[in-house]
Formats: sequence, structure tokens, C-alpha cells
Amino acid sequence: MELEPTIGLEVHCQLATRSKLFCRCPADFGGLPNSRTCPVCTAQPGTLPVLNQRALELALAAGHALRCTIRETIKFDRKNYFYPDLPKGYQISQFDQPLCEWGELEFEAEKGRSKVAKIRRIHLEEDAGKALHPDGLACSLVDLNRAGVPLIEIVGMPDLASPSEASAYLQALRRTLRFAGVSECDMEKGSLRCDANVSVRPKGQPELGTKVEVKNINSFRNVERALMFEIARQSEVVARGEKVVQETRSFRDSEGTTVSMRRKEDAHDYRYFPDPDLPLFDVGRARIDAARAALPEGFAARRRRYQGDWGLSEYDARVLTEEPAIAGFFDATVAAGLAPKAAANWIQGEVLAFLGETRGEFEQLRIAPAALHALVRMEEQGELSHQAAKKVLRRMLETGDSAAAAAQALDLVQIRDSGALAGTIDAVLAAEAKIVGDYKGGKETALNALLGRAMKATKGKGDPNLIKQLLLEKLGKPGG
Amino acid sequence: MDVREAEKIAGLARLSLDAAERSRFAGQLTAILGYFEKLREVPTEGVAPASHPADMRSPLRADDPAPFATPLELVARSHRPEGELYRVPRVLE
Repeated sequence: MELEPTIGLEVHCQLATRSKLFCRCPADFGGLPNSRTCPVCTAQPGTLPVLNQRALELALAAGHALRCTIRETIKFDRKNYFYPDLPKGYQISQFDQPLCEWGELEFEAEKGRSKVAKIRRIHLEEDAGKALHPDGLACSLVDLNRAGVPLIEIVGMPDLASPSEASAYLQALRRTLRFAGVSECDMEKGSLRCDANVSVRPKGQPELGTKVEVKNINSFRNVERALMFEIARQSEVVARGEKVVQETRSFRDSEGTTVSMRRKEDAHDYRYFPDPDLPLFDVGRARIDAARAALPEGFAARRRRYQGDWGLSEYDARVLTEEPAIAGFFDATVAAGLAPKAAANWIQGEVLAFLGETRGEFEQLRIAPAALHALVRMEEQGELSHQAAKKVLRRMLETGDSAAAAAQALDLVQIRDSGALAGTIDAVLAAEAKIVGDYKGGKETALNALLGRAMKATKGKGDPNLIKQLLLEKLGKPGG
Repeated sequence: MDVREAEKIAGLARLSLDAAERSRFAGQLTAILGYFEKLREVPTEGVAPASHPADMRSPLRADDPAPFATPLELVARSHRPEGELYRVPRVLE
């Protein structure tokens, strides 16, 4: 019996707000344990939650970027469960009236084949804290810095047919959210988390098999590893004639396996009910439309524009849309006046190479788009040779200097003053009498040798075209 | 509601009930659910569901962080804190 897997992902992503979802504690990563907590997010009696407007706007941006239908009035519900990292004993989430529903994400399922996966819903909710279980201690310890941090959960339909499709979907989702400015989506920092629902069924059978939820998938690579293991495990269970048990399993990175965590709760075990502390919210048509209008251009639209309008290759368009910061810098450089192809070459060449070597982030780049344009103009106007321009850019990237200042500091500005070059040329001609003789005897290529000597004498700074012109003036035609 | 359901709900609420309590609460919860059954008889066609008793709307606040001045005092007031961390009975995943 041939089996086929069905996969759907549930992705949590931390919204790029400065404060938490329902209180004013800072929402950034790090900090001493419990230093970013207050009476609201530690569930002191008598406190009341107040929704963060920016979180709502970012969730709307996610909804638009994923082409969802958006609800004009929303409700928050309490999802009740007991775990010490959840101070209130419930999580404020959204149950039956999520902010966004029925969207879609187009992604490249494999090279050259795109696919559209349906998004079931996107809802707003708060994060839990962190429970620590130090070895040798009879107790567990709790840090509530993350408690109350704003998240959206993006629930995908089970439209994914293989581990590699799931990985491609997640990559496209991450890039979409990053370009929309919704979230950093950094899996290492936990601002993007992924759980996978996976089942297997005989090929051609319309009903889905029993689904298992796999948690703790902590990297892109592990999405595929965890799913491959889980599909093989379920296939073996079915092959033995047994039934797959509906449960939650945890991915073990070190072994590449999944282990049973608990029987899967049903929704009614969470005893969802409307949060009495949070009356309904009117999101409102105006706010929904404003979020759509404010949505930055997505990576797919940018790729089309770079290829279609600006004539870049597919490869160039892909590299430049790898990160929103790169695309933003590229667009700004073109807006500053640099031709798209030249801007693309400089960014992909020197700039990305520099960041690769220094393990830097594009966001921390020390040069402005206008500075890159100024550098290229110096080369175009003959003030810098191409090789010199590369060295100057390197210094600009390292120090944040302007193009002119970096060229001065490196002493690489081309000498384009014929008076200044005349002495050097006279000296070269005097020293290289033999080559001069060859030239005068009719050997045309001897001129290049003299040009080389003169360039060397100027330490590469002489303008080669001008030197050549001056040499010809002094020597006349070959054989002449 | 039977005693087994009462026991399950008590478990979800982390309450430990003895046999007499289970039976007593099962009876009380049955009466409460019966009252809701009765409410269900009211014709509600065309009436929007009311998730909250008052027809009011929630406010929003600006995304403007303001750290709480004494967060560690909250920890200090908890039961047997461990430094800057809350201490809880050992839980393992």
C-alpha cells in the first residue's frame, strides 16, 4: 500500500512591537529574568489588559500580505490551561472570531513550480513565559519576560505534500512577513516558531489520516528532518496494521526523532470563553484599509519589478530580495540616481562580500545609498579606476567615510592633471630608452609597456587614458 | 452531568475532590446546565450573540513602552523566590 503524507504548519511569530500586547513592558529579546514584567503580565489581582494598537496594525499587515479576509469586529478569548509559565492560568487568544481568515501564500514548491497553499486563519495572542528546569534542583524556575509578548499564530491548511514543500512554504512565509515589516522572524531568537501537523493516508484516499502535532521544531533544517522522521514512523505504524494515535510529539534535535509528549487536547479541554476584561474591538474599515495602504511592497512584486522594469536577471532579482534591508538599500541607491544594473553589481559584489566576511547584518551597514552612488560617479568621471573604486568602497564600508574622504585617505584619487603627469612621463621616457627605441622602430605594442611603466610610477593613480594621450603627444606615431 | 465528567472537569481545574464532593458538584453542575437548557428555549433568531454583558468597545493604547519600576519586588513577594526567578513545583515537559 502506497502512503502519502499531508502536512499543515502552525506558525507563531512575534510581532515587531516595542511593548507587550496588553501592558507597557518592553517586548524586546533578552534582559535579566523578570526585569520586563509588571502587575499586568504577572497576573496580579485587579489589573486589566489594554490592547497595543501597533500589534493590531502589524497583525492586519500580516493578514493583507497573506491575502486574508479581515474581520471588522474582533473578540478575545481565554484559553485555559495550567502550566507555571502561564501566570494567569489562561492565555489571551482568539477562538471563534480570529482577526484574519482564508488567505493564501504562493511559494516555490520546487525549482520552477509554484504552488498556492491556503491559510486557514491568523489570530492575535500573547506569549507565555519560560520555565527553567535546572539539574539538581527539586523545583522549576520561571522567567516571565516573554509573558504577554504579542504573537500572531498563522494556521495553514493541510496543503503541503512533502517535507521539502513544508520547508519552502515556511521560507516564503518568513520572507513575506519580513517584507511586510510584521516580524523579524528569527527562529534562533524564537520570534518565529513552527509546529507541524502531519498525517499519512493511502494514496487516493479522500479522508485524511489521524494527525499528529510535532512541536519544538527550532530551525528551518529541522522542519524537514522532523517531518521525514515522523512520516516514516507513521508509515511503519500503518504497515504493521496498527492505528496512528492522535497526540502531540516533541522533536528531539540531537537524535532527529520525535517522542510522545501527551495525548492531544481537544479544543473543549481548553474551556475557551470570551475574556470579560476585553470587550469587543471595532477594528473598523478605515483601519483595515489604512493597513493595506501602508503595506510595503512584497518580495515577489519586487522581483517582478527588478526583472520586468529594470531588466535584471532572475538571479540578481533573487539575491536582492533575500532580505528586506537589501532590497530597500538597492531601491534607494537606484532612487539616488545609480543605474539598476550597476547598483545590483556593486551591492551583490563588494557590499555582500564585505558583510559575508565580517558576518555583518545589512541593517548595520555604515554607508548610505547616496554614498554608493557618489562612489560610482567618481569612477564614471575618471577620478577612480575600477580597482581603486573597489578599495575605496571597502574603506567606506569599514569606516562610514564618504567616497571622497575614503579616496583621499587611501590616496587613490586619479591624477588627471597633465602638468603633474608630464614630469613622470619624461622620467619614464628617459629611463626606458630601449623601449622608446623599439617604439620608434615601429613596434606599436611598446607603447603599452611605456604606459605600464608610467602607471607604476604613479602607483596606479595616473589616469591611463591621459597618460596614453601624453605619450602619443611626446613620441608621435610608431616608426615615426 | 455524571460523576466521571465532574471528575474530569475538576482535573482540568486542578481541583482534587473526594467521592462525596464529586457527587455533590455533579448534581449542582447539572442544575446549572439545566438552567442554560431552559435559557436555550428563548427564541434568539436575528439576535446577535452577546459575548459580553455590556455593549461597549475596548480602547487601544499606543505602542509606547514604560518599564514597571519595581518588577523584582513582584518576584520577591512570591512564594520562596530563587533570586530573580519565581520558584514553582518541579515540572518536566
